[in-house]
Amino acid sequence: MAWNFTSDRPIYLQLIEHIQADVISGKYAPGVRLPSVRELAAEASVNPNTMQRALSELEESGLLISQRTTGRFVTEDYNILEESKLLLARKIAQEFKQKISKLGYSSKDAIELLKNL
Amino acid sequence: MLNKLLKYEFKSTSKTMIPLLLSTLALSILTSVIMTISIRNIESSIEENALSNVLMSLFATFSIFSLFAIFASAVVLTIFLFARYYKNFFADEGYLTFTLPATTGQQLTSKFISGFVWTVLGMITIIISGIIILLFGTATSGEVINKELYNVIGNILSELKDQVGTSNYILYITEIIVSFMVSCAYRLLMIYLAITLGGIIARKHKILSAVGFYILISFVISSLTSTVTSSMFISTFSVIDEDEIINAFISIPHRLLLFDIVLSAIFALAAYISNYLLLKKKLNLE
Amino acid sequence: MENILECSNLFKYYSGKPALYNLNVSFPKGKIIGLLGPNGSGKTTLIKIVAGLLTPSSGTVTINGMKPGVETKNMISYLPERQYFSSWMTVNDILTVFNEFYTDFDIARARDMMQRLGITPENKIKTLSKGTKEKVQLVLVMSRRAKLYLLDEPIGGVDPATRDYILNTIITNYNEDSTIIISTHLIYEIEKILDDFVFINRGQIVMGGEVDRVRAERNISIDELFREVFRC
Repeated sequence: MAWNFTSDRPIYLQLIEHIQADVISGKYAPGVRLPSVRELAAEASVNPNTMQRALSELEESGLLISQRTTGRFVTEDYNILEESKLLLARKIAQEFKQKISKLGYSSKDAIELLKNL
Repeated sequence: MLNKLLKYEFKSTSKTMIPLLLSTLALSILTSVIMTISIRNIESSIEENALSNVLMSLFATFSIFSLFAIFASAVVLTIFLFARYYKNFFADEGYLTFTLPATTGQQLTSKFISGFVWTVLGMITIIISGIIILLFGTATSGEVINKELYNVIGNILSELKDQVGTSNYILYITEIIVSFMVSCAYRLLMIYLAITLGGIIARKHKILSAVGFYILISFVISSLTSTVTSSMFISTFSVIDEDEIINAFISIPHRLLLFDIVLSAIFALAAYISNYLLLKKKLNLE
Repeated sequence: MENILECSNLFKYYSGKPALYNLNVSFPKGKIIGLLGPNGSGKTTLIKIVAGLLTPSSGTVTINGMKPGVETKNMISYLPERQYFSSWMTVNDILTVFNEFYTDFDIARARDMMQRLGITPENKIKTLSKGTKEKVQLVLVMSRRAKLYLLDEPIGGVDPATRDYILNTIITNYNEDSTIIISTHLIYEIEKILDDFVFINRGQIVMGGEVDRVRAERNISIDELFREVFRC
């Protein structure tokens, strides 16, 4: 089943987000080995080059660790994991705030809304 | 690579060619059987009756029909070979042919070799079919073959052998066969060239243009041939004097045949080279 | 040698009309590149010249530094828009042809893909449906370990499921040492798998670049960029 992308944003960025989400949600648990670039690219229905780029960036950010012969692993460094989670949560919250303020809701109203969900 | 191409060529063409040739032979055997039965029937029947008349006319019709059929198979064979050349080079199949890692020379040579082999086999088949019908089909009761005809032919040939000497006789036969093969080759290559011209130069109606090109080429060739041949003829005869007349009867056919072989070989080469250059430099598949 | 394909000052005339007009373009190694343009823009003409099926009117084409010839045909795997099978062939026959003529053909892989598509090797090709024939041709082309793949409209006129299959086959058979050039006018479907793109119109290169860069800099898809550039 192909992952969903929009074509007006760089695909490699969307791949990064997708994998981050998978890590945070626990699909790829800390220390777990990721499938190969090819396998991930096939699963996502994207160009292996693009997937490679996304994975490289994730390595640079520390979320993934590459061991040359054995493959790529999710980090076991809980600081990094927590930070990723925080960043993603912030992003989602930011999007929510933008959208809800377009409707005319203030921050206080927004918090009330969330409490009553 | 050439071997691979040849293997592929023969594989594609045998499927049609072999049944065609075999059925031609089979038809000639059948025809000769029917003919010889009719002939024996005519001889042995004392009175005519309606049934035997009907049978006779059936057999006669059948014989004529099969002679046409055998002739037609020669035509079919030829058309098939050229259709294959056209399809494989200039129709959709060309997209596969010309992206294979083979040189232009290899492609052209493989078509030439397969075309030549099938043409020669076709000729042989038709000759054998003709012989079967003539010798076996016209046999009267009590014989397997038409002894009379066989003897007549045998006599003519041995007469000739005596006249010119055994070695010359063998030489003649060889020259005739070689000349035949070389002119087969050049005719084949001429048609291939015409098809290439049609396939490359014409935008539409490629096949029609190919026919047009062939007529043009044939015309040029025959004009050239007759000019060269007649001048050669004249020069040959002009040097004969009294003593040489006897030798001349032997040597002239040699010279003419040899000349014919050389000329055909030159035409064949010219056709091949022009075709090669066209395919190499001017290929434009639609 | 950084580029797998270089075209310089390429001209191609058909009865006086230019199909390619002073075309200059280079394609790098190891990328999937979209050759995108409207119908009649010269995409197929360019591809056929590279494949060796057309001779240019003037200009040069070099594939891995070599002119089109036997060696380049050995490294190029070409998928034309039309089918090129002989009428008597079975699937086995065409597999044999590819296996014998191309040293880089992976016959095991091809058989495997055919089997997964439910194609019986003994079937005559002419008995297959149009869509299946196209898949067969794609399988053959992608089972070669070529340096350059030229795919001319690989997804034109097929149903969505087949389209997904084709795109998937392209991705999974791709390897880092080769380049895949996909020529199409169906940009929306194909842009997700592209690294680079080239816009061609009226026989000339209009624009080119990295796909993700366009998305990053302008926040639009290549499909939208195309519409912008080729607005009627």
